[in-house]
Amino acid sequence: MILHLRWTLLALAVSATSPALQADEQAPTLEVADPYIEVHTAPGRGYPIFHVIEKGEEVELLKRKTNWYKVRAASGETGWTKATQLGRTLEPTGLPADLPEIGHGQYLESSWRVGFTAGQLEQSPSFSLTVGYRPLTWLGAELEAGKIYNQSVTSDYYGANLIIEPLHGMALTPYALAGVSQFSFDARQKVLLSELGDADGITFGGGMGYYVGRNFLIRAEYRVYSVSSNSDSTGLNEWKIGLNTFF
Amino acid sequence: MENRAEHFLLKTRRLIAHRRLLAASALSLACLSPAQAEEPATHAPVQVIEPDISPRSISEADLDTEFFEVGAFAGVLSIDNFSTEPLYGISAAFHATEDFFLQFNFGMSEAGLTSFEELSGSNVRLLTSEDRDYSYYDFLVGYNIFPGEIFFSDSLTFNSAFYIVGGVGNTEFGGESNFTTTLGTGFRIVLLDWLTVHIDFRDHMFNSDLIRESQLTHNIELSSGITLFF
Repeated sequence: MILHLRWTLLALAVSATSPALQADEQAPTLEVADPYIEVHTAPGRGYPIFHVIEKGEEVELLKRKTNWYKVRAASGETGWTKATQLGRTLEPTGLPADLPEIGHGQYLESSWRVGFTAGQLEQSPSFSLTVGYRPLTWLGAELEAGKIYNQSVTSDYYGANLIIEPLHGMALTPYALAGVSQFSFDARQKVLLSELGDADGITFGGGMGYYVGRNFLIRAEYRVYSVSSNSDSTGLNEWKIGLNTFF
Repeated sequence: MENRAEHFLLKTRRLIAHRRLLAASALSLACLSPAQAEEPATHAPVQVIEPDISPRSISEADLDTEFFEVGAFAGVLSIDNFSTEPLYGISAAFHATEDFFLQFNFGMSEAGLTSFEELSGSNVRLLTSEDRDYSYYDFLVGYNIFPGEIFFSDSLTFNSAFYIVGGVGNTEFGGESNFTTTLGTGFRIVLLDWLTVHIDFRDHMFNSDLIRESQLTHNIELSSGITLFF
């Protein structure tokens, strides 16, 4: 914007006229800032480069698929270019477009995420489906529904967790979580165990997240549940591996 | 990254200011400054009138993104100790990067008779007909290990990928829920930006004590389907 203003001011000083030509674009258009960007035939690193768009030329953004953008050059060629290359591209105002690789805290703010986890609670395998929302750069909330497979009992569990992730500059990031959970039990051998009550729990945990690109997160997590049922309280440990995507 | 952008902006600004100065001095017929000799002859012509483009910011929401994929599949499922039966299912996937995707599958089948039941006649049945219903769901992570292209004819080529998947899920069979680990491979052909066809080979593994002592059963799925991107 500053650059643009200066251009206009200088143009005024020189010619005393500044005709306003309104740009009329359909798709969002960017100006290339890199020496050139490479245009591939398909969205994948191995597909051949059939065209390059040079610095200063304009590109139209048509669509996005994973970390690739479908672009149209001013000369009409249509192909796919990597998101990281477009991140260094300029908006018509002359400032870098809002696409570069910034800290994940910023780009994940107000984003949704879905994923699943696989783990081991004490000796029993478990898995869960998770849906989360991240209202702040450092704070997210997550709902979880899962199953635990004990030898004699299958348990459904539901949980709600708060995830605190204060650092968001690096690909590998620590986080902490706290939440509540509810367990319901189903005996595998109906003859042996009759009615089993529900149990409530409090969850504390922490882990490391590894961000692969802008949309993919691998989590390794350790949790402690304090489960109470029938005025009994039990501590349970769980290890988890989680995979998440953002949108 | 920011440094790079700043560096670029500052450099451009300096260059432009310099060029403006030169243009202004040329227009006012001022005497030639020694700096003018420094300007390389290869420079683009000075643009005196700058088109006034209204500032406009781009957010990713302005773009058509194709991350989600939904589809249906059909095939055969070889249920360990039982028979091989038709399988139907639906799938949904989220493509996070060009390499990784997350996939959810739900499939249904119905087990036939074990060879023991076949040989023992119609009055020997190990499971009720209801307990023969086999259904599963799973959450898988996929990796496009061999992306490529296939050439149908001189003018018709499609993008394709050979991928591997692995994950966890639940299998309901014989009236029991079983923790299931699934591994598999598949091949996808992208017919259009939004339409793909795939063929999959998967092994659904779970411990079952349904008809004998607890053992790991391998339930092999061979299926094919179409998916739509949106």
